[in-house]
Amino acid sequence: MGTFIRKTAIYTEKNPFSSVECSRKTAELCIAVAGIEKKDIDLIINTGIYREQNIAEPAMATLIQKSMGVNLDPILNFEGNSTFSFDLNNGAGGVLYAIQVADAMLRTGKIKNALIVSNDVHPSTKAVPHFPFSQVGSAMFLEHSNNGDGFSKFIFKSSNFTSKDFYTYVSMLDSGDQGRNIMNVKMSKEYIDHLLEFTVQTAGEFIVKYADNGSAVQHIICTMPNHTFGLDLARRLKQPDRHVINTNGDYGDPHTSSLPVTYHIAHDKGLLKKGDKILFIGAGAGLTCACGLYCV
Amino acid sequence: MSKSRFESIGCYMPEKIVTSKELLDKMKTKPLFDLEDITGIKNRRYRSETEDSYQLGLAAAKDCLSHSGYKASEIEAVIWTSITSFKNVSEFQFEPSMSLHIKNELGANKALNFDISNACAGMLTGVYILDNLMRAGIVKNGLVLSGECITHVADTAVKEITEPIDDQFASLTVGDSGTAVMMDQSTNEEEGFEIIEFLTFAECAELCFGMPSTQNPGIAMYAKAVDLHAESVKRVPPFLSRILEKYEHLICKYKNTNTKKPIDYVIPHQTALKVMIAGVKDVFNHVKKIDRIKDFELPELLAYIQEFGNTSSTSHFVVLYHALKDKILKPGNTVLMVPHASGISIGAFFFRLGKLKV
Repeated sequence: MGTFIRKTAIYTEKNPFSSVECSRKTAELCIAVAGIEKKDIDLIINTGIYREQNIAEPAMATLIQKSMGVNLDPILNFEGNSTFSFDLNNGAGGVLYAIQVADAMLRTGKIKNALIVSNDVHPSTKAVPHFPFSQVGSAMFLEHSNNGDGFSKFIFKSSNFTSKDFYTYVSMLDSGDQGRNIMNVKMSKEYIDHLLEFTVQTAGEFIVKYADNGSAVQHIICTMPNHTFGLDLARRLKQPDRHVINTNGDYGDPHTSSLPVTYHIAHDKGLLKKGDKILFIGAGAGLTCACGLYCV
Repeated sequence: MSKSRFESIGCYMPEKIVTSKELLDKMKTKPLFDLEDITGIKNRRYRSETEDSYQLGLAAAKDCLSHSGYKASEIEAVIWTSITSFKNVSEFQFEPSMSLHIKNELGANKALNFDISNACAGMLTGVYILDNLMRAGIVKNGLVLSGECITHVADTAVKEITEPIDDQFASLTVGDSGTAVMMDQSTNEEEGFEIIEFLTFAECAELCFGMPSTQNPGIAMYAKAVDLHAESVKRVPPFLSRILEKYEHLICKYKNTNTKKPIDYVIPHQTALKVMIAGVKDVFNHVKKIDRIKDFELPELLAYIQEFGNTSSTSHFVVLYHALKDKILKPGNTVLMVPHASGISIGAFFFRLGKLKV
């Protein structure tokens, strides 16, 4: 009994551009392959952090709902369906937090399905050299399953002292008239090493507790702040290299889209067999590490 | 399944008071309308030169925990919900999450944490999510909070409005604040949430934007206020009537034996006093057309907009806190909170109050 990924989609073309437009294209692909009508979407959560013009209000998810044309006016044109949309953010692994929230709402019966969308674009919607993320749209359509598949366990950990290794901001004092086009990204030289240590510790606890110390896991899907992070992590967790699905070489670091993008590619390549167990690991700023165990 | 409830509440209002007159006196181009008359807003609180969203939220969280039966180390979820995320005074932060900074400062080390963004519906979106996390058995309690330094948009409006009709006029209504609520599962049937409903009518999602200005450093809010009002008044009455009819059995469970009212108090999003008064009347005129609930009487309106303005994501909780402090609200009262925020998110949150200390 758990929350099951019914379908995913990714969008890799013509970037960078509007985050709303990228999410719309990805979400429409996703629901088309899922065979879902727009009106049947109950919940839209956006977990992308970086968006055009640094829009702070309204939630990007509501703009995506608008651009997709999903239950636009469920009051005056009420036909029994409505949709609720909001943004949920917690760094690169935010999607696992959103899945946990959707999982709770599926369990209480508040919703029948959830669409989680993400992508990160520099606020200027231009290619900017210091911006470390590549824009790849991702969408996941989630439903509840009673067949023993889906997500069964989660763990969410963060360091007890907020790390200054990675932080992003816009200074409102010295941005002049360029506030919509700026993103300050501060990353220490030690960030990846510190993040790896913290992730090894958290994921290590997780596999001991929930995955027979890793022997129950066939695949590792993790955020990839650099191209060796996944392999370094697997080796430290004493997991075989072949379990790591590495997409950093193909798409750079798609940040909040990393986990759904990697899942999508693994699924597309036929790597995932019914009954396989996937260890999802979302690690990022904070330091923060979220793990989820998923049965295909 | 047990109900969720507010276990404790905290609030922090910055000390500095700015009157509507003081704000207008700074402007070269005055509005064509009388700001105070049309909105009812006399004063709003303003951040000091050293205050930011983080500090306002943190102060509210500490106030909340000082009235709570829970220690920080026992908190199982921390959900940050503001529009503005200023830290280090003037840095609008994206990563790490604000909820992580708060969690670590409080020492809520075992809590699940994340940030929510849903315009002025932020706090109530957090409540909606936490209610589900608790009912699904994921967590037993949690803290929902917001620190909102939203007067940055008023500062921008004062500098930039040059025409008597301008999308930034609504920015003059806002005020700063921090609020926090601890929620847990109710220990008795008589207290807690009976109804939590939310939807987004995204048709009007593009009528209000908050984003950095293109003329000055700082953020601005651009609202098609007239259109927003016109579209909303068409929809809020039928939406709420539908909810009241659907849940009539739950609402009437606690009918006040003295006043005969099924709902004692209503807390709308605090936008403008006249709009709120007319809105409540509109809803209950609509209700009279529906047979099953036609006898529902008008609840009392709770408004603190005169003193605090529109505090955006915290508005319902600034009102709840002050109505408790002023001893207007008492244990056993029933309250309907109505979120109404850019997006446009509309909802209904109906609960019966327990003993909340302030």
